[in-house]
Amino acid sequence: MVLYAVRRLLWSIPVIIIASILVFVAVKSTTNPAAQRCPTCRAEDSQRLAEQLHLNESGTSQYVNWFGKFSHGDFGKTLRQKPVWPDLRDAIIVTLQLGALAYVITIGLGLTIGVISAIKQYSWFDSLSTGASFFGLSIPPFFFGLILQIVLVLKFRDWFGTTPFFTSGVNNSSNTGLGYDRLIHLILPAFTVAVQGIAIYSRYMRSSMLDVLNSDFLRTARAKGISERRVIVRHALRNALIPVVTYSAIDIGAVIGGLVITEQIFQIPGMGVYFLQAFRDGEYVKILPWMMLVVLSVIALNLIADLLYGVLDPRIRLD
Amino acid sequence: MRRQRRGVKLFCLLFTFVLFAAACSSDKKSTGAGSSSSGPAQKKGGTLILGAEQWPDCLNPITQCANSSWMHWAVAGHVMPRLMELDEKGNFVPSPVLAGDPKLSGEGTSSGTGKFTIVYDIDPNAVWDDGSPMTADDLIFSLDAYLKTTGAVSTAGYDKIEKIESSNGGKTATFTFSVPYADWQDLFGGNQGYFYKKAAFAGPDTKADMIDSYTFSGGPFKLDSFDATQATFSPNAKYWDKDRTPFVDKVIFKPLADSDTELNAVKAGEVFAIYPQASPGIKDQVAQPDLKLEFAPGVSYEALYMDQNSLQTPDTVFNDKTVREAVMFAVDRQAILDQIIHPDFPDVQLLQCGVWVPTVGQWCDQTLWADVKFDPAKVKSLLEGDGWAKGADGIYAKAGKRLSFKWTINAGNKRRESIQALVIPKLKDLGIEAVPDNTDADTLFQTRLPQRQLEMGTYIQTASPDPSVTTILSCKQIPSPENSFSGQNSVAWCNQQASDLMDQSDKTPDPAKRLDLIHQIGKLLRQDAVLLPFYQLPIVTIVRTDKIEGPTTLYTPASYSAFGNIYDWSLK
Repeated sequence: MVLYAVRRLLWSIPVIIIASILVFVAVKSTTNPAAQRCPTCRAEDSQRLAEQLHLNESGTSQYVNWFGKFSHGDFGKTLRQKPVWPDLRDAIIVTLQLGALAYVITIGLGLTIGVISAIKQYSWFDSLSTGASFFGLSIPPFFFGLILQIVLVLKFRDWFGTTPFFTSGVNNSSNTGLGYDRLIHLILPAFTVAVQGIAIYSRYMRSSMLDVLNSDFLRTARAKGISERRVIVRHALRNALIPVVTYSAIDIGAVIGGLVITEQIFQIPGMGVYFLQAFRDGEYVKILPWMMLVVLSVIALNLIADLLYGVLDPRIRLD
Repeated sequence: MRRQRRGVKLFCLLFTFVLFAAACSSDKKSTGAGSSSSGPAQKKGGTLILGAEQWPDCLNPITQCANSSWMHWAVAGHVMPRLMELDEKGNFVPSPVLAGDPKLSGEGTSSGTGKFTIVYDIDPNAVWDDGSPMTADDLIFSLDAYLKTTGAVSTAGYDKIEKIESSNGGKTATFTFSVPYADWQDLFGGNQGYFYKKAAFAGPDTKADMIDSYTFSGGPFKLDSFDATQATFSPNAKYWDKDRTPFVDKVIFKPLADSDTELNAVKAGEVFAIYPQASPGIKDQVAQPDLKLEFAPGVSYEALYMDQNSLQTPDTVFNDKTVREAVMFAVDRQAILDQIIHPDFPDVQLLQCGVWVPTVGQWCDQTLWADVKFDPAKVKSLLEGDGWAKGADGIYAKAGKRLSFKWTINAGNKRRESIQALVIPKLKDLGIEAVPDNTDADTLFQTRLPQRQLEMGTYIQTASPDPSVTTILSCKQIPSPENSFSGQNSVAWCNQQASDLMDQSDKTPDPAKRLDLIHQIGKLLRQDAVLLPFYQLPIVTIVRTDKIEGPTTLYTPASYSAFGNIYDWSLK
């Protein structure tokens, strides 16, 4: 397994370099900091700025300069001379907080609903969860988030005079601290993120469990007199989790990439808001490390998923 | 008896003195521009929470950070001192830093050439938040900072200052300009300028300073913290102008960039006031008894711009002045106003003065476009009189060229999409084909517009209290591949007479003479049919009346935003 991991890591190097070139070309061709709207700028001011930021150098020279610094952990400074890393780090922490909470809700509810639906196939619970999952899949997060705000904040307040829920990341805690205040502000955004995940994971889990429940080895296990609970938990669930693990690894990568819409709706200052603001401002210096970190996290999590297969199913050998 | 009379005199004298002293040391809020209409009944203390629909990335008013309007509205404007400032009506007035009106002298004040000087007397009580006095040395340092900071957003005007001299123990600053500079009031103050405390900086290059904090204050508030989630302020205890002593103990600004969330946050009481852009249906969205919506014409105006030398379509029909004129009479501005703007904002009027607005300064001549009304007969006579004839498809053509053009807006903007939906069919009925060529806002404003990759566009521009339009309309400011797309004259209008008038205006400090020059430029702008102004974009303040009181909507139309006078706001 170690050899496999090392080989995968080595293969990651050209992938990262190719990805970095694609990212650089894409970002540089879609942002134009020199052309930022600047009502007070004179033409010579814009020209001077372009020279100071080395925007007039060749693309290759700019790429080599940027990637060299990035690979040494130097993420550079923004057009406004602010170091990139502290804000990016804070955004990552905030997104991980939201993502982790949403992930716990997603996995907890999604897998549980999927398993029960499979075990009690065609029951009222199965029908209800199937209907609910289609609803969850079809409702876009920006709409669901606003519905939650209207019902659980505005209407709730009208009905009961107060509400424990919040429309936005309004709080008095520090930017990245995770206290009670932060947690209660994260409840609605986490549910907004989770609703589609619950629907997807419950469907995946139901399907995967049904495949396993009908397999021969489970019949054998039951014939040997193993309790139904043990059959389900020890044998069926473990095997059914394998495809779900693959999906969840990619899903975590997406979380790190930023819950762009949900963060924007609830004003959570995470990776999504960071990206949108950077793009709006033409801050390619901020977008480049953002995109590279997403690429790196997806590569790393896929590797972890591959390694987890071996843990979940000893029959899978990684070499 | 004599002693008794002397005693009465002494008593009268003392009584007079006590009355005088009481009047002078009145707790707060007596008179003054922008001062409150508030009374002594306003409560003191508490935390004022406000929503900001955009959030600055950094706080240095000298560098590119200054491009963010919300940096000024939510942060710098409450902390940094100015020399001249703008009142709620957009007039330049001396700020509390100054002991009176500045005195102008020299040849340059009356003619377009020669030096001129300005003498500023600094109020003897004006101090920084640590109690140290504000002096001419701070202004000398600030000038250095504007000129020597790497990545300074603009040095315009500052580079015309030859020297600043200090006298009267540092309380008088004499500015000498090498050439006349009409917009002198925007330097170290005005719309987006400030001056800075010399002792707070290691040197004049401030590129690494004021990134996310201010270590000093010369305004009513001190900035206590700033990050991606909020900015917090407390009153500056050393602020000398008692009319601007804040009522509240703390102010928090929160970013609320999503417009629905912004409205929901004020409806839920999580923030006490917001200053959102007007959007269709906003009145219905905030129809709630404890919310007050105040509308005012903003400082931005929306218009139809025709690129006379489009780089997207080199043989554009807009290089023909008759076509531009005909399009102006074919666009039903009144219908746009009635059907799209008036349902929410019935008081908005048509803008008739082009690139100035009536509520900012005195520069707007509301007669310029007054003759332009939807007039199919005029369109027909203009076009057919110039040799255009309708083809089989009902569209005019001349010498094989159809009267067709692309019309670009930022996709997703409901207001502009509604305008297109209203206007395009009417144009077609008149034999003019407008083809929507919409794109996302970033591509439009950061790439296509600066590189003149459109034929006709609808967007807003902001009117400054200073009437100069050189940067957006002068011949020298036309972006092109030859000048690496420098300049902001995106309609490529080049009228040398107008450009000369612009240069002359920029060097004319006398407002009366300047007004005449500006009106001459306006006439040429209308004469050449460069653009069709629609209206001043309405802006809105929404306030929770159950949470706050005071003159909360006084500054709605002001350049400093509705939050320009939050020192006068108090909690209920």
